[in-house]
Amino acid sequence: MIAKSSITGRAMPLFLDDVDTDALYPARFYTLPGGFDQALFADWRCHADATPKPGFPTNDPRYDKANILIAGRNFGCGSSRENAVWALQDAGFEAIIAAGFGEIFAGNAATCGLACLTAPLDEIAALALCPDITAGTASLHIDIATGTLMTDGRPALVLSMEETARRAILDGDMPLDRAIRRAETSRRKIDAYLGGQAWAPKDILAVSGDHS
Amino acid sequence: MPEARTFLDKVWDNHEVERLDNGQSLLFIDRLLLHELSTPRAFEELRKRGLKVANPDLVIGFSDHIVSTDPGRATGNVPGGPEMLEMFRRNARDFGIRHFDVDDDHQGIVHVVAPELGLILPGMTVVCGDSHTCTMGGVSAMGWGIGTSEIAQVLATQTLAIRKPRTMRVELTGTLPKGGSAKDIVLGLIAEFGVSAGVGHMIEFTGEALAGMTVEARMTLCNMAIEMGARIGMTAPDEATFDYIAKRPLAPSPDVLETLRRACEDVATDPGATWDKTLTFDVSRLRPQITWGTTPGEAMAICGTIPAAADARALDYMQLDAGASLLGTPVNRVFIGSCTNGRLSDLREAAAILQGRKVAATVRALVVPGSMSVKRAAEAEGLDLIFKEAGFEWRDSGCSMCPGLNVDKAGAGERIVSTTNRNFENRQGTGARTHLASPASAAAAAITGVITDPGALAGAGT
Repeated sequence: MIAKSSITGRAMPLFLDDVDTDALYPARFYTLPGGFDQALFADWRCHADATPKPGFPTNDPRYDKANILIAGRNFGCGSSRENAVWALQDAGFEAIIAAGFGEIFAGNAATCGLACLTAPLDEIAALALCPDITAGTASLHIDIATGTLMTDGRPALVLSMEETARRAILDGDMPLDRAIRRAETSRRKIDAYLGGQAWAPKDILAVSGDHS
Repeated sequence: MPEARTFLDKVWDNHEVERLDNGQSLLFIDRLLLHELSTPRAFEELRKRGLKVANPDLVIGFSDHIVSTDPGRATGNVPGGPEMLEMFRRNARDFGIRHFDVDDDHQGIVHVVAPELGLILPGMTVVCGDSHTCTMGGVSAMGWGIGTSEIAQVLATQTLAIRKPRTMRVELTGTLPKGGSAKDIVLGLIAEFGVSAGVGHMIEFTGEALAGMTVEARMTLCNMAIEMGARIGMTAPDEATFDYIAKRPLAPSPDVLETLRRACEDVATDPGATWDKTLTFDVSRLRPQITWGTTPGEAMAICGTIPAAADARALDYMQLDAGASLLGTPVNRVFIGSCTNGRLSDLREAAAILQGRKVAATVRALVVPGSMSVKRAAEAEGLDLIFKEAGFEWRDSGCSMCPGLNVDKAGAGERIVSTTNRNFENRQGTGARTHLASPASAAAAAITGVITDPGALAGAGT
């Protein structure tokens, strides 16, 4: 993960509530080995015969260069599939600004370095409906440390961000490395926990291995 | 005096190895459950770094999502499916993980099999790369869904760093009228409070309605906590919990059970403890529920009418009108199964309606038991004959039509009454229109070929 102190670029508005992870990444694409952006919004983006639906923002040439997605409430609700985050990142998105997030999605985004920023719905609505945002011409700058969003000719907007996620993006953290370091420091406590359990995991493994 | 704590706080605290500088808790994870879809990259990550699984005896694998459900199936039936199943098989073998594979006697949906075998016990922490891990709350375990990167962390350390959610009590008051089920309660609840009411919280369900509920029904209830936005939904252990646990094939020995029972007394909510938020929901006049829209919160009484202010996009997708009744709306398919409603009690509920009746000629109806054990138990009491004689397809176990991953899908424009948990656009097939409901309501629709109040069919068979 690359450390970032800011994200600069263009926005794509998709001002809908409850954009679920089935919409972001339809389950039938689970077998893809990579190039997850081909699955992104597949059923919203394309007709059944795979021809593009012209009205959908990802098919709109005005948003070709967009790297910041603006959405409504509860973005990323539903399934835990991290593929939804990978698909957004493979399609070039670095940040999502929404009025709220599904928690598992937000957790996955934090691990992968996709910034999830929130603001009250009315502030997001005002932003999403700005003529230069809808025209795809607005230039946006997000300062990660403060959450400040600067856009041309508008007052700065301070966006909220979960602190662990903010830290991870600023540090370019590798969560697995961090987890392993942490477990090493806590090894004694973890072993003590394991030793103190009422149930014996080994017994369960032995029985579950023999179920004839 | 120590601070009064809730059951949720105590289970959390029991697993907190450290409170980290960033405010997160480092939690010990008692069970990591795996399935074939969300794991390949996690194992890849371990291989790349030459890591081992820290505690393979606390990790259990289940092939369920992409498996074929055709009777006697050997593997998957969509392109890439057999390869995913083979990769999972190889990963489980290489890392020494017990794996309930497609041909295993106990194969089935992870959230059905793990509790039914006795692998999940009250007070445990359980994670899985699947959002419906909250189902474990029905046996009083704290379960939640995680992503692939987090799976890698738990594989490598058996711990997970996570910020403690706020606590929420959902008190279910009153007694559910006859003919109602846990599915009706949870659909009614989400319709009342909305799909993001639980975000940032872990839910404990309490109240009079819960006391009379079987453990299987509690699993149905907790299963859909995530549809309200809460990653975790739990019920505190009681006699029903311990009766259930004692009967599991892998139940702990009586000594261990006794220790566990005492440990559960210790995690009971202290007098004077408070939750960060409390919601109250009266079930005493609740009618069978069904969704009309494209989120689980867009639900109503099956005999009611679609709200006048209903979301236009959802209505357009579902091809329905605001203010209209759903009764009499023709359906093409009926699906009974999933981690929400694929247990023996669910099959019994549907069979009671189907007995001596036939599925309408215009409907294709499918029943997919939640596990092969559920399938055998249902066959032992003749439920399979009721389903087959009625005209249902009687399948092997798997997730089937719920996530739409194998060939069990509906076509564009087809309307389904489904006992599953998500009615999102395109989930059960591109262009498919899903109505979530209870097994009884699904069975009633199968017979009449239209959306039907199961109460209106009472009499025969029940």
